[in-house]
Amino acid sequence: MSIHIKSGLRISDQGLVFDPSTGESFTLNPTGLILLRLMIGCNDENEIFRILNQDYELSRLEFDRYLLDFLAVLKSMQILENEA
Amino acid sequence: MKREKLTIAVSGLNNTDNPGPGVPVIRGLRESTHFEPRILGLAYENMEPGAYMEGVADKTYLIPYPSNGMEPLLARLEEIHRRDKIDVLIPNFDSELLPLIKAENRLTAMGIRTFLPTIGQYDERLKSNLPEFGKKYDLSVPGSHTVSSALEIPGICRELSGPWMIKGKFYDAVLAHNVEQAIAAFYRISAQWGLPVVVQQYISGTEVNVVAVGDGKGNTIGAVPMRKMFVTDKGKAWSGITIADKYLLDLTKRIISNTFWRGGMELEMIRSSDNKYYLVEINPRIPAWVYLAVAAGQNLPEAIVHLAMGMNPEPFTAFEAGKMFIRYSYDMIVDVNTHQSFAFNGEK
Repeated sequence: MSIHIKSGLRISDQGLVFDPSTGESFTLNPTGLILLRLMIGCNDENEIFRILNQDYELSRLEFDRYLLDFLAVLKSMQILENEA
Repeated sequence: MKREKLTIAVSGLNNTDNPGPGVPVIRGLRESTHFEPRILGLAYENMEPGAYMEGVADKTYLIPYPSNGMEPLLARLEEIHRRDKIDVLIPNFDSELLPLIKAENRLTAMGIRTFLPTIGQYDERLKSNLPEFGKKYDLSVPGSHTVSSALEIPGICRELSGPWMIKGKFYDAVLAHNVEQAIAAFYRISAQWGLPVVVQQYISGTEVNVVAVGDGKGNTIGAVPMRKMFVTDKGKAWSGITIADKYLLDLTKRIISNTFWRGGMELEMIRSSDNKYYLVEINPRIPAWVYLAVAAGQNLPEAIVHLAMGMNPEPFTAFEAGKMFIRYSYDMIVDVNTHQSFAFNGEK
């Protein structure tokens, strides 16, 4: 799966995300913030899992489940451009 | 650089909970880097807050409503102009726009410059003509009908699925969920603003507006989109944020290019949850939130003065997205003598 996050988002260190194209903003918890930043830097889910797995004890099954949930949230916020 | 001195007359000083654009227009003019404005405020009522606000108008004159006839208004402008030479007039009230557009030649002959839409442009975008406007320029608009009698409303409500916005010809809009509410809104709005009244299908979504200026030759001099963040019970933006919405900017440029729009305008749009855009209204003037555009990098009131003076301002190419405005109310303390003197003498 290839993940593409909308470009131009403004993300604060506190987890406030602002989309300048729609004017919408929302907040992420610290885990969401780490994940979103990873997704912006890298659109390959396997690579994201590899990076996360270095710091967090996480099974691939758990990662896949939480990733799908998180992608659904990003989609509802209209900041996920597409997933292939 | 020495700035040129210009006397600019501005109406719409009613900075109430449903504010006119006069005060924010003046704020923009005062920030001009090209000219040094002397501001003449034009007030229809002696209680318009802008007449009393510090640093807004250098002098304010009371003027008669256009509904009292065009001649008294023009005679008053002529009298003011004799005493206090007006270089440019920026009218900001919907109800004064058409009479002043019609009087453009007389104003020009007096030496008062304006930069307003043509009568054709003004008429074409009327709320009652919006369906034809949408068809002509390939824009999505909500279904709507113009009504002059409450008897027409039940039939329209059967034809267009509800809810509906019941709109006055110049101002005001009420959301109606059933025929009874629509009829009650019709009577209230027609009593205040006259006929016809527009029954428009309500589109649910995010309210996004654009303030723009066209040079009358098809070019967009500036355009800034804004998303309403908080609205009053009248549906007016109490806070908003600039957005870099490419679709809205392209649409604005297309409308200005196709209509050869002349002067300031506001596009009122709804963005539905499936990302479709509906044009619900075009106002043929600068809106009250224009100072947000100035703060975001486009001094559109200044551009209108340049256009009125026959100059060709460079089109703005950028603005800052994510700039917010938040309105507030503030109690000014005014001495009764100041108010009485203004009411009695017609100037202050």
